[in-house]
Amino acid sequence: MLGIPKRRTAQEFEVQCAPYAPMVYRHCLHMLKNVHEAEDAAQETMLRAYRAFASFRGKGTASWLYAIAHNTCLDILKSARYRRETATLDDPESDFQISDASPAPDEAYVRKAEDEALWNLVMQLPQEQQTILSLFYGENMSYEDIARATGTRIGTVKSRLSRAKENLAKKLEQQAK
Amino acid sequence: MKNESLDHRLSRLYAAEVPEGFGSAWRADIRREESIQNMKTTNRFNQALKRFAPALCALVLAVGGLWAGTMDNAAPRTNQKTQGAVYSMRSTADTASYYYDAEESYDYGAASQSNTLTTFGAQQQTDRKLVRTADLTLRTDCYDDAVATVQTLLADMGGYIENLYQYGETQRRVTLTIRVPSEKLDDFLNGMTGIGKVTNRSESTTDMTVEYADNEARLATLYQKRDRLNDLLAQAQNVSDLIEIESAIADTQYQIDRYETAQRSIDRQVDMSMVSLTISEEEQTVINPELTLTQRISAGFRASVKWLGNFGRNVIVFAVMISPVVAVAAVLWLCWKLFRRIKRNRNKEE
Repeated sequence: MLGIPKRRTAQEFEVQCAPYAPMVYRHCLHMLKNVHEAEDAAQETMLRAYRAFASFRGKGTASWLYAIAHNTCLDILKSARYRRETATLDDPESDFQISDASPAPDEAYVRKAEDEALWNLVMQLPQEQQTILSLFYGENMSYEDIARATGTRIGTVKSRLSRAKENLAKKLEQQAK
Repeated sequence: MKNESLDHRLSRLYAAEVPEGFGSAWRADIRREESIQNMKTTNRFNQALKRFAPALCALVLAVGGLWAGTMDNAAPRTNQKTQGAVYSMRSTADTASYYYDAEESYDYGAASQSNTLTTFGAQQQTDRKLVRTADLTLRTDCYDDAVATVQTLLADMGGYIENLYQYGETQRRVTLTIRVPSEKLDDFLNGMTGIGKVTNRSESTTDMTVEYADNEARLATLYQKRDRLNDLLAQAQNVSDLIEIESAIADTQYQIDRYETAQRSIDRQVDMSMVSLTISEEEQTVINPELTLTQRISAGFRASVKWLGNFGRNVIVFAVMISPVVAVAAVLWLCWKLFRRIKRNRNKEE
């Protein structure tokens, strides 16, 4: 009545957003490429989301969280503190390593380069396609769950996923040439 | 094949493990944030109050300013009530010692505005010389009608206008000194309430009985002296005695005339009460249809600025007026905050 968003409890937030917390973390990790920074950024994302939760009425919790995570990471990347720390600190243990059966060093180096290249291509995709890729491959969610999480229809999820993969394939082909 | 490879690569890309403590860490952050928010805003009402506090203050000041403006009109009415409630009856010390006991109070505070005095007058006027005067101020929209009504009422009651002074153009004002038969004074004053808004009313009664009786006694003495001097004059043997007696008679006659005039004056004051009546016209904004558009705009603008000025002054008056209340409220609020802080600190210590 007074135009003030009704306070929503932390419990409500957890129920609605907890399933997508790993997605938030992974996105932060891919963007910041540092485990500690990614964890901090993901926590900050969840905090920002909670602060804005009272006014969040739309469908598509995953898309909403994904956008917040993306903006949070951009803020961190732009921050002077982050630039200073990344310039002075060189902690190889904190570097983002894809968990895989311990490959040979050469192979690992190649994989890392390939993954970075692929991630750069993913980041060129529209954000809704990025969200769907993250939920599909990262969280192993079904089309139906993704549709619920992003507030879209199953058909839209399928088409966006298909288009995202096509775009990536094309870009990879172009890179290969 | 190509797609399978891409699927595989994408699966690997998104396969990063989430640290164990991440889930509990962000949950703890949320809980902490929730408790901070709970502390900051205890309820939605407080939140709304904070949001609308400036508007609320502005509204209170605006309404208060308007109210303070109306108090200017109401103030004389308050005076009227006060003055009406406490009728003063001036009496000299001599009067008190001669005619009524010290305990015989003439405080008409609890009495109605007219009836008590009328009854008193009817009972005592025959042997007491009471001079009643009244002061009345009226405010009216229909100035001409009000003045005409007063004149008609006065003529019906056998009174007359002793003095009239009118001034003002847009906001006219007339001050009348009226003589009304004493026995009809209350009817006249009550009749005035129907003519306009009575903003001031006061009455007083002066007991002239002692002075009148003194004058009577002195006159009787002077009459006797004059008679004796006339007898002496008839018996005078030489011119110098004659001149001296005639001079004494002239002095005595002068004194008699003076006292007789004073007695007549008292009689007149007793018979005809004096009323000082002021009728003022309510201020009206009259737009003259003969004015040009520019003049009308100019007049309207001036009126608006004048109103705004008055309103601003009224707001200041109101702000100053409520400042004690605000100060007390602020002190109470600070006490409450201090009490809560102390209580919270104690709870933390425990």
